[in-house]
Amino acid sequence: MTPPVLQLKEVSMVYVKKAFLQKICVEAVTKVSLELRDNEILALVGETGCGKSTLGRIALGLLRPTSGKVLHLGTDIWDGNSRKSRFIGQIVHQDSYAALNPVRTVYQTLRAPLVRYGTKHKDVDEEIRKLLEFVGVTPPDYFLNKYPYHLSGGMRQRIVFARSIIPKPKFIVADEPISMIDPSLRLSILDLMMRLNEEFGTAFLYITHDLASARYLARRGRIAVMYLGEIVEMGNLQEVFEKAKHPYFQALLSVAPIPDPRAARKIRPLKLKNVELPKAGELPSGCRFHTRCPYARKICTEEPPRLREVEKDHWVACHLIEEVPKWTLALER
Amino acid sequence: MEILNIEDLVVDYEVQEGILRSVNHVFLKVRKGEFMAIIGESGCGKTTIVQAIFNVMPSNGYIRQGRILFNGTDILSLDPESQRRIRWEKIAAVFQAAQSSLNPVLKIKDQVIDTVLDHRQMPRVEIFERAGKLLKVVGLEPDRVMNSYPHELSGGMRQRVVIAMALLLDPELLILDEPTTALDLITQAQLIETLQHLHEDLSITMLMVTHDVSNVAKVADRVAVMYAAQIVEVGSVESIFYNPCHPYTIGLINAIPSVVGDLSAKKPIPGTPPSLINPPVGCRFHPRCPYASRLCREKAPELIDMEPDHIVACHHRLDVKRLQHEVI
Repeated sequence: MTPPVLQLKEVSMVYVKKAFLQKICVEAVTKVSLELRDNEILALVGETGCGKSTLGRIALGLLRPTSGKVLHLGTDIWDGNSRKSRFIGQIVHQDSYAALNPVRTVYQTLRAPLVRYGTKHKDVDEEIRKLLEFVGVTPPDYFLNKYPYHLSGGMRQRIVFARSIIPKPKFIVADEPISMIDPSLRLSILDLMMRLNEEFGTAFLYITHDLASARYLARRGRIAVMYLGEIVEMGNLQEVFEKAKHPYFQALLSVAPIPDPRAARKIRPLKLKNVELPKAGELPSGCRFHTRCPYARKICTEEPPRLREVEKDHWVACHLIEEVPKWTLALER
Repeated sequence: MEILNIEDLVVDYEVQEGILRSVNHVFLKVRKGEFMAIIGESGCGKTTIVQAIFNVMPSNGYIRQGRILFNGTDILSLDPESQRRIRWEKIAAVFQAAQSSLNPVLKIKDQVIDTVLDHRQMPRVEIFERAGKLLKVVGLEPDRVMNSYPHELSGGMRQRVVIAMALLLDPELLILDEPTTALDLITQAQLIETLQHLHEDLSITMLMVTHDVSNVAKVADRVAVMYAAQIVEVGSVESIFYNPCHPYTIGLINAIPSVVGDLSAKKPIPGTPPSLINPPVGCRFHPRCPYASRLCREKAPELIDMEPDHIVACHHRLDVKRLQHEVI
C-alpha cells in the first residue's frame, strides 16, 4: 500500500508574539493528526482564527510546526534541519490578484513554470493553450496577452489553478479560493477543482468557512472541523453532515445559511452559552468548547476529550457524545 | 404606503476609462414596515443606491437624474442642512464594514452622546438611558460596552453597537449595507436574529443590501434583484425564491450551494458580469442567458407586472418557465 499523499502527525504550532517586555504565546494548532489520501478531497472547515490556514501552510511545508511530523508520501519533510524540497504540493490563495504578478501577462505567467518543469520551448505555446482551455479560459488566444488587472476575479483564479497544476502536484491546498468571487461564479471554480481532481488525480485540502461549498465540493470526500486549533469532528462528509455529533459542528450547521425561505425560517439556531470566542492566548482548559457549549459538564472543564471513532470513518472529540441530542437537518423541501 | 420611493435614478462615476453608469434608471419602492432586500453581485450598483439615498457620493460620483422620495419629499432637492437633519433622524444606515466606522479613540458612551447632541438637545441621563435600552435590544451589556473603547469589543459586538447607535434617534428607515460580511457564521446568525427582532418588535422599516442570497431568504419580506446597474426582478421573498421569472434570478438561486437538499442540479451561471463602462446593448444579461434571442440583443426589456407584486424585466418572462425544462 502506498503511503498517503500527506500525513500530519500530532502537529502543533505556537506563534510567539513579542510585546513590550514580555512574550505572548498563541497556540494556533494543537496536536492535529490528519491524512490526505491519494485523489481525495478533504474539506477543512472552521471559523476565523481556528488555525485552519496555519494548518494548510504546515501541510505544504511553508511553516515549520513547533512539534509533530509532516509526511509527504511517507517521507518526513522536516527530517534534518532544512526542508527537503519535494514539490508535491501547491497552494491556491484567496486573493488571486495578489497571487499573480501584475506586470506579467497570462502567457508569461504560465510560460515560466512550464519551462522550469521541462516542457520543450517549441511545445510551450501549445501546452499553454491546452491548459487555458482546460481551466475554462476560452478562447485562449484572446487571453494570452492580458494582464491580471484585465481579468475578472473568476478568470484570475482559473489562471492561478492552471499555474498550480503545471508541476503535476499530488495535492493542492486551496485556502478560501472562492470567497472573493462573485456568487454566481463560485460554483464554476469548485467545478474546476472537481475536474482537476478527476482528470489528474490531484488531491485537495479545501480550507473554508463556508459549509455549503464544502458540502458541494467534497461530496464524495471527507471533512474535518476545527475549533481553536483542534479537530473536533472528522470523517466521511455525507456521514458527518447527516449525523453531526459534536455540539460545535451542530451549532455551525444550525446557523449555516440556506437559500430557501421556508426551510431557513424553520431552523432554530442552537443556543450557545456564550457567543464570543475565547481570546487568543487564553485557551479554555479541558474541552476548548466548554465555555460556549450548552451541554457542558464538570468533566468538560477538566479533561480534554480525545478524538474517537464513533462510527466507521466518523471521528468526534466530545465527552458527551451519548448525551448530546441527535442531529437532524433532514428537511422536507 | 411607501416610505421610500426611488424614481428613475441614474448615477454615474467618472473613471479613467470613461463614464461608468453604476445605477441605470432604477425604480424602487420600499413600503412602510417591511423588510426589503436588494441582492446583486459586487459592482452591480447596489451600494451606490444607498450612497445616493444619503446623497454622500464619492467625489467622482454624480447623481444625474431621478428623485428619491422619503415620505413624499424629494430628499435630493432639499438644502444641505435639511438633508443632514433627515440623515440619522429619519433614515439611519449601517455601512459596509461598520465594525471599523467607530472612532477608535473615543469611548462608546462619548460617541453616543456626540451622535445625539448633534441632532437634538437631551440631558445626558436620558441619552444614557435610551442607549442602554438599545444596547440591550441588540444583545449587549450596556454597562460594559458604554465604558469600552472600540478595540476592546469583538467585530460582532462593534457591529451591534453601530446598529444600536443607528437607532438612537428613532429613525423610520434603517438601511443595512452588507451587514454580515466579515463576521463569523455564529455571529452572523446572531446579528440576523437581532435584525429580525428589531424589525418585528420595533416595527422599523429595513432595507438590506447584500450579495448573500441565503441570509435574504431568512429575513426579507420582499426582494429586489439587481444585475449590471439595473433592477431585473422585484417580488415577495416567496415568489423570488420559488417562482423566479428572470433568467438571472433563476441562475443565481441555482448557483448557491446549501447545507441541505439536493446538490446535483446546482450549477454556476456561465460567463462573467459585464463591464458597466461598455454594457451589452439590449438586455444586459443576454450574453450569459440561455434563452437569449434577437430581440434580447436589440431591445432592453422593461419591468412588467407578472402577477400582483411581482415585476420582471425580461422579454421571455412568460416562456422562461417552459423553456427552463427544455434547455436543461
